[in-house]
Amino acid sequence: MAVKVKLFGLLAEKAGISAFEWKHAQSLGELSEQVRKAYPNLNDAVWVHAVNQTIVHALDTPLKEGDEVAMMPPFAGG
Amino acid sequence: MSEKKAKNYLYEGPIPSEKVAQSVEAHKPKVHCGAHTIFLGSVRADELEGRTVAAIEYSAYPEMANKVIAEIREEAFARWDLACLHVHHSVGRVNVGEVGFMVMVSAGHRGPVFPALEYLVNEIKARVPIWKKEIFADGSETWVEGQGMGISPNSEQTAP
Repeated sequence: MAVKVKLFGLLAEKAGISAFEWKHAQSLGELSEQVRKAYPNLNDAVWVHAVNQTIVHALDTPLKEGDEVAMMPPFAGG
Repeated sequence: MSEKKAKNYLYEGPIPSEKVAQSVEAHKPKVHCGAHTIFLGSVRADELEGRTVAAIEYSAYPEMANKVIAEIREEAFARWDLACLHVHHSVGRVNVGEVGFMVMVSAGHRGPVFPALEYLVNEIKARVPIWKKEIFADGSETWVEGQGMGISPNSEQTAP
């Protein structure tokens, strides 16, 4: 089941990629762990998740086909 | 959820001074509005370890940034008796001295325009997915460490 993953800011720079599809995770927590392993430069990085443009903290949140998951460093706008 | 066409609050490059003047001019016909506050965020020539900031490069998650700004506006309209609320945030490069963030609040009377402006500015800083990179005079760059984790500084709300 494929979800779209988007990385922003420092994370995209560290990983060397800003968007990709991911098929291996059932939950947000699983996705997060798998991506951290797949892109070892993200090892110490801190991020917040959004699913379909809403912030989600609960790592047991299940993912659905076509969900857009964003991994975002702490915001610095305004 | 309503299917209104999503408004774009993001502005490519620095917000020109003319835009501030245009916003003031555009309020002339709104003859029941007697009070307006404007916040402008501009880029400072901060010094870091002997390097001076020459510009900031803003980047955003545009769909979510616009969604969250729209939500914050709705919250302000619900909380105070406001007539209008304008928000513009730059993406891309903004040089020192230039404006990268503008909020304008209008109401019939002055009571709500001060707290509403502060609310807008602080909520946007905390909740909108925008990032900035400092670009120094020597060409080097560094990401600014953000503080916003998406949680409102003003309420008890927490994400699921």
